[in-house]
Amino acid sequence: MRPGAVHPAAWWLWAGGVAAAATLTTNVLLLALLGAVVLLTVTVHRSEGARGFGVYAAVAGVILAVRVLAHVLLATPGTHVLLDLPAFDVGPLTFLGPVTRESLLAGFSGGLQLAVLVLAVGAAHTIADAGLLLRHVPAALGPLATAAVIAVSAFPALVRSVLETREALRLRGATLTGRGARDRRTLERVVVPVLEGALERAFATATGMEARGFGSQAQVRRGTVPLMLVSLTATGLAMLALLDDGWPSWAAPVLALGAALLTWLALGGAHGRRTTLYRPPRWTWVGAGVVACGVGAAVIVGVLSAAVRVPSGESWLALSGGALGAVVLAALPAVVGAVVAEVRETRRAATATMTSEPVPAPQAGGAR
Amino acid sequence: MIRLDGLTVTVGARTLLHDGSADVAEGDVVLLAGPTGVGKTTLLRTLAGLLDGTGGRASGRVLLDGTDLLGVPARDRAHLTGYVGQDPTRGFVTAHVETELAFGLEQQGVAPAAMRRRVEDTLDLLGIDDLRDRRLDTLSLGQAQRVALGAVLVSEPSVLLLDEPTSALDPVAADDVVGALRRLAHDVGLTVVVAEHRLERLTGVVDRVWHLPGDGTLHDGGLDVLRGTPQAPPLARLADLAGWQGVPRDVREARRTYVAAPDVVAVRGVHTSRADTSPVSTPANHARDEVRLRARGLEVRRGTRTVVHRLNLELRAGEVTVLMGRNGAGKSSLLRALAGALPHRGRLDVGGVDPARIAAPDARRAVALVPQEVGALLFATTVDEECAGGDTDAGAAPGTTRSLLDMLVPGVDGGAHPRDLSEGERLALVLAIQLAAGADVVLLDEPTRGLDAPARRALVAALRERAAAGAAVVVATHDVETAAEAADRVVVLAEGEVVTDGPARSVLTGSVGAAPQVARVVRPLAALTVDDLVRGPAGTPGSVPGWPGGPGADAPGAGPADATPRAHPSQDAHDGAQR
Repeated sequence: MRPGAVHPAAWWLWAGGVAAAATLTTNVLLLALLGAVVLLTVTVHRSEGARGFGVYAAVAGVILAVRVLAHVLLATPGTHVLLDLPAFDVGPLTFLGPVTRESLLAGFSGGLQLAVLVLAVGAAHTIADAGLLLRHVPAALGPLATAAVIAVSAFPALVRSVLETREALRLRGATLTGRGARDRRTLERVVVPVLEGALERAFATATGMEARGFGSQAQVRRGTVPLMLVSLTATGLAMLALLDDGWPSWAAPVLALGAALLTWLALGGAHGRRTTLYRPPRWTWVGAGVVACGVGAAVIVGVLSAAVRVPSGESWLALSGGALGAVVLAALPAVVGAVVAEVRETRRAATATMTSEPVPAPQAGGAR
Repeated sequence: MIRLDGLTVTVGARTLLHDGSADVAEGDVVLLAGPTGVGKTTLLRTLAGLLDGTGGRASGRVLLDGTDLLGVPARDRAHLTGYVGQDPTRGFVTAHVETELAFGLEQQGVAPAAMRRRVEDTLDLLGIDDLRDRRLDTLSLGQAQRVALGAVLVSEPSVLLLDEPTSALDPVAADDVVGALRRLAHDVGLTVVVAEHRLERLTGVVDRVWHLPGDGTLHDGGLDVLRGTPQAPPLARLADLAGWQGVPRDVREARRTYVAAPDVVAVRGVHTSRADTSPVSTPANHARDEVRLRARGLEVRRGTRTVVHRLNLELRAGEVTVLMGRNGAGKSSLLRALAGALPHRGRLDVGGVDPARIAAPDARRAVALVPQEVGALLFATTVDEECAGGDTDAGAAPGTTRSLLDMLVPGVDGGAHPRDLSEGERLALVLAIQLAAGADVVLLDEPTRGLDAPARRALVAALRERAAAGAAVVVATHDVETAAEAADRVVVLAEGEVVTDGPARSVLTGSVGAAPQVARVVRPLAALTVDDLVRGPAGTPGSVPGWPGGPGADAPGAGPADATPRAHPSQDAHDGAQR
């Protein structure tokens, strides 16, 4: 990692904080502001050549649209009628009906919550590639993490292979639809080369890895993966027990303890020399600051007054100083990043003009 | 350094090598040559310890510095041997150049300080320091090849095994890689074993040759091992024709030998068209100047970039055109647009229709394209099924595809799975499938990758026959030697525009970078390949024009191009590589 660069986990924790803040509130304005903050941060901090945020933005937009549309199409109760549409009864369901302000707001707030969640994950992935984090997993899970990284990076190759095969199909004079298509065989002609190509690629990657020593160090005890799975299930059940009042009170601590024990067993299983890490990222004050901003925003939203956090009915436009403060805190990494970039640019331009040869002013004689 | 002792390698029922023995000293560069599909890749993988998964079995001994390493898997000896496969981009694991270089060291558990030092050293050694922050998918082929080399070199092995490192590269990038090999062998002292079909690029840097003729034997010697074999590079064939004692290593040596006695060879009569010399010259009963394809103002875009700018092109019947240009000049995009596979602007006319606007089966009968990535067209489980499918797709008589295939690469097993064939055999299969449709315009994108000299000549013969039958053939290639053999006309593209368009002879001999080796040696004779030359008045079999003993001096062994390369001071002769 470059000295001074932010630890990738810091961005993921920041994104987690913003996502938590979004989950804690149903205030439409606050949610929209949080979404804008995430978009701003991505614009300022995205890493070189990182594509793909568009996909996350598109997904978030679709989620929002579907939510709002669902609330409009299915009649929901409310008092302030905005648009009076006729109601259709299909069996037990009532479609359309009067569109009320409450139903629209509910749709927007639910949709925006999910959208901000998706955007936050997308931002974290765009700014700090998830693959970078997978290098830090414990040695026992090393091969699994490597498999995950390769799977993610092989995905574009798979997409390209499908496109190539479809084009090759055309070159051979067959089409997927229309004249000359014999459906099942034609599908086979696309699927088989793609799968075979994927196998060949996998083999080539495996050759490249083995030729460089992959697999020479890890001596993992058997049973790591099943143990980890059981431990994950136990953690999930523990969280359920914590949040749901139906479970007995001793369930949560016992399950959590069991999960911790199983994890310790699973991860302590690697023997012998392990793989080392090249230039691991370091935690700096900047990284800690980024985490603090995200987590702080979540904390502030959590302690907001109920009138602002979960506004009802009349006061749906309510925003308080605290809410704005949370938004500003979440936006701090973006603002600071933009300012620093500007300063660096000006300084670089200044040194460039300073170090270049001064052009001699036209004088009589013109001697240099 | 490397010693093969009674090595036997079998794949299934085939014996690739039986009881082979060879000896390589430290610091030698060994060239592994042989016909397409003979087992060079398998032999390299045996030496690297990577036979798992290939279905190959090996017995005998492979001694590296005295230790038998045959049974040791590659992962446990990454610090002794390094292997780089045919397509380096497929072997990449991480996303960035620097992490890719460090991957091997991480997996071997090297200490962080040592890792840092070694990565920096390797970046300097290969001259890729400016690439260190780049993402791997943004690299050009030549850069990717060097990064793959670096990823293996960080482990500081003593033996490097390379599988066709320059076959996919344009001459400039190939030159970089060959230069890196030279540095590694001469300055660092690595022992390198290279399997390569483009022999002409490597003869200047190679010390020993291992030739696998295909009968299970291994011939070990200097460059003269290749003399008389089908795989002989152009300079070896020239030496045979002229009766020289030894095989010159590069263009400079050959030129000195030639200039000492220029009468040894002469140009075969003057021709207006190459078609007159082809063995299959049918009487041309088609209109010679009939235009098969006409493109006016052709413009092709990929995303926001315009890759082909307002191009005008005419392809005439009976003409073989070679399209040249560096990587990224737009050759592949142009060919795909001409076949109707890429949308284009401007006018495109093939026999009255625009291939992009008609249905695929009809477009194929007008224009046939063989793309670079041939695996995408193969989907059956046996070669025979593939041929039958090809006949059905083309609407041709059963057996057309199979006979075309046999003409290109004879003896392909009909029951074999297409993915088990070698690169050259696979290409021949796809070529046969596409040619079976009988289109009047045939386009090929880099067809000579993975083909050895005889297969290339068979390909050229097939293309010339197709041209003589009235088709217009276009071949996009970096391979200057194939261009010299095949082309009537050469079109050079740069940045999406036509830079040169003229008769092959004048374009290829006029350009410094694109001239074939023979043309450079026998300047100012207008010969492009050895086939253009005949033995001249002074050249009788066995006579050796001596140097510097004066013309006519019969001194066997005193020839300038000595067969034992170590006796010859090899300077950094870049002439051997395509420049």
